[in-house]
Amino acid sequence: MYSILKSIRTTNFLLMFLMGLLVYGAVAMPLSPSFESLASMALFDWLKTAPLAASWWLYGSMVVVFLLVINTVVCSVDSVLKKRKGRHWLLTISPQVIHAGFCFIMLAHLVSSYGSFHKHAVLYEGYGVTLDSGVEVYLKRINSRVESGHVTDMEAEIFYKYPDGSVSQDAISPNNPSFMDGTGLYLKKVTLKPAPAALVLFSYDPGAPWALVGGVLFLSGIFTLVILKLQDRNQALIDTDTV
Amino acid sequence: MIAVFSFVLYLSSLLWKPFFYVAILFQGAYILSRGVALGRLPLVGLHDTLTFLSFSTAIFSVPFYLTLKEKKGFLESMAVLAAVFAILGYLSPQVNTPLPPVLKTYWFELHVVLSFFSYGLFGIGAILGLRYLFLSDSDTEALQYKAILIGYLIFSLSMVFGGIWAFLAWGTYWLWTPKEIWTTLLWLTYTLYLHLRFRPWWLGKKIVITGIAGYLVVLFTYLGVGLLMKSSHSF
Repeated sequence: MYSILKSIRTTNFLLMFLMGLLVYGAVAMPLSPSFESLASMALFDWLKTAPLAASWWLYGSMVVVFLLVINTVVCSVDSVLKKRKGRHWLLTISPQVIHAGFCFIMLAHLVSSYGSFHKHAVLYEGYGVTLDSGVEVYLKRINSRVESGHVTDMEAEIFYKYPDGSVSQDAISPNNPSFMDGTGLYLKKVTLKPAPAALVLFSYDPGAPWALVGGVLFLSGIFTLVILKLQDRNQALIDTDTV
Repeated sequence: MIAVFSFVLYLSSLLWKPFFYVAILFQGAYILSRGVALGRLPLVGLHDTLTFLSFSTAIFSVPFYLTLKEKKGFLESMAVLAAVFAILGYLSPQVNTPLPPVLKTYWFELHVVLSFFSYGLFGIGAILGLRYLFLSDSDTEALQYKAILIGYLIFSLSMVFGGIWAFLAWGTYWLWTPKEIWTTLLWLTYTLYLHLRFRPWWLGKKIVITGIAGYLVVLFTYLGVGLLMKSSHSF
């Protein structure tokens, strides 16, 4: 069992199997209306409501990803233990840093699939909504710039009113959200007629920090590996020493 | 006009190689002039992205050409590939409107520029793979590996920047859409390529063909998904 779990042949089979499932999913997705709500819900909440005929490939993908993570961890630990006394320490460790990054990214997806939410709301100037934490958020003013009939810039001034009566101000614009207790407020659209209003997205994605950690680890590992590989022209040909 | 001229120059380089470098210069000047005229990064819409893909493919092929021991036919193949993208770009409609606010961020610019750099490198990997099928020299196979490895690094960088941008723009680093899934498939294809190289049975023609197949996934992810499916990358 251990030899199967640490095997790179297992990795390759799992990758091929995962690719097959994702190809099916990518083709099936546009054909089934069930997937329209997936972008606005946490994956596990969506899976509870989705018909199995549409979602089976996602269940399959999750099982394969789970096995792939186990395979990655076992393979990495085995590799480090075997080569810890080797001379090419960086060459041994950098693929494992990439693998750690991959595991963190998968953890991020797991966390996001459980607890994320994305809800839209239309806010008119002077009006607001109450967040789950009891904090109220109000839209104070909308600023926008239009060039040749296209909105080229927009901003919404907002303020938070806390349960103790205190107030703080902020501004949101595209790519510049405001965060309150982990929930992000995103400006999606504005309109000035018939009354100034903004389409605001309330989004909570608990996996995002893990994804960032994973991304940084993945990039550090692969950057180091590429530098090392490029240093030795001959090593690029066959290198079975760095898994 | 300069866009057509670069296409002609790429094809002319089949007769006289220095035209290849002149074509790169012309195309670079065209991209720069589009950027100055629009006041933004000219990488929105098929016209600009195909032109940039042609440019990336051509400019990255130069160091590989200089490194190759057996150079015959390589630059010519790259010139044809760059010319195909250049003419397709010329025939595609330009998007000259101001950028939507959501695209006004360095994360978007880095995400797109790096994506097309990696596509260029994957294209070089495919051409080197095709060369290997005819020449069977280990030097070409090693260079295909290097092109794909560097492309994989740049593509991964682009994906991380794309995730950061998506989080800042849409509140999540991941969206369940066909475009994202195909992008993941592209990343998995080259991940598989890099792992298959550790199995001696796969070395030689099989691994080289995997590298060529990866480029078909690149082309479908870039062109096929955008043209055939609803995409989060349509602006």
